Amino acid sequence: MEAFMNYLQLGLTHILDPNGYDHILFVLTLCGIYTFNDWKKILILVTAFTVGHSLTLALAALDIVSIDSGIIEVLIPITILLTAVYNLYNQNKASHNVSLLYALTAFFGLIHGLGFSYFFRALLAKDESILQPLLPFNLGVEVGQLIIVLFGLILSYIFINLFKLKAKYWNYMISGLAIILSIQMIAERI
Amino acid sequence: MFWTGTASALHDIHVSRCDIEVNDQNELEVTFKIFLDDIQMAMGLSPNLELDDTYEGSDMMIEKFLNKNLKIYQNNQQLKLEYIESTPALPAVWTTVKYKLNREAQGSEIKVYNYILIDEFSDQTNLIDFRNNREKKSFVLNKKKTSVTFKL
Repeated sequence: MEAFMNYLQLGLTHILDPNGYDHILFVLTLCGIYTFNDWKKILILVTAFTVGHSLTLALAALDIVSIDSGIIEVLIPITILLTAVYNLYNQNKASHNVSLLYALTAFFGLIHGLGFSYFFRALLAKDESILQPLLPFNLGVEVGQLIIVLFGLILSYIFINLFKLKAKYWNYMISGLAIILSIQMIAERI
Repeated sequence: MFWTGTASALHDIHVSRCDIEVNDQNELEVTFKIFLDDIQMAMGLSPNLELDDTYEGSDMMIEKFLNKNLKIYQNNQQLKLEYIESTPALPAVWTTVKYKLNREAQGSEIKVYNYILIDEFSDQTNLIDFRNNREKKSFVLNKKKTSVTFKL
């Protein structure tokens, strides 16, 4: 139980790590155009992302998939950039192709999962089986993800409902910030 | 031993792990996994320095590093580190050391202080797994918590 909770804590603190905020920024940008009323769409988006990153985290941890970490470190901010651009081009939520968004999110999840796997593999002992730590680590990532989503929704509620900022300007703020930060990350990582 | 200093990925990983086992010779066998560029940085070496297996000082440097950053006590008496070897597994290095226990192990209280890279990285995480015939214990140490105590 001790080891289970430790790995869960490690997954949680890894995704919530402010020093490596790329995953935080992606999840915030992903949910950037939504509010608490859109909880069903958010749930599907987050599930799509979870399926994607869980798959590649497991495959990479099992050494079935291996991609140079330098490439993944560039691809992750690219996923943030593309998501932010998508948000800006689809401000009218009713009009955007939701199926495309879900598919893209799952695909981006594959990339983030590879990013998680480098940290996860660093935790493993020499001959340790990956199965025992993989589940709690991934659970920790999920819990962290939900915390980030909740944080994003609370922020949007504060700005849109309390400060009466129009939703489109909130989108400009979040997506604009995500574009700036992701371009900076890409430039640092190339 | 051979190692190469390499730059970390930007989403930096600051983790070490330490596996402790009690062997039949009444010793603690301790295996560390530490990232090479981090340990080189902590030693004040250039990150781009390439060291080959003719570099005789590398084992001594790691031993000195561990003596400084890891302290193990048995019933409040500090145990002496005996360096065995280091094996590169890029980007990390596996290092094995031993600590001779003072008397019969069972029932002893062991306290481990782990300061590995704590001063260098505020987000450093140091995992400790302890295993004997009867049980396994896992601990997560960091800047706020640098020691653990357990009974053999």
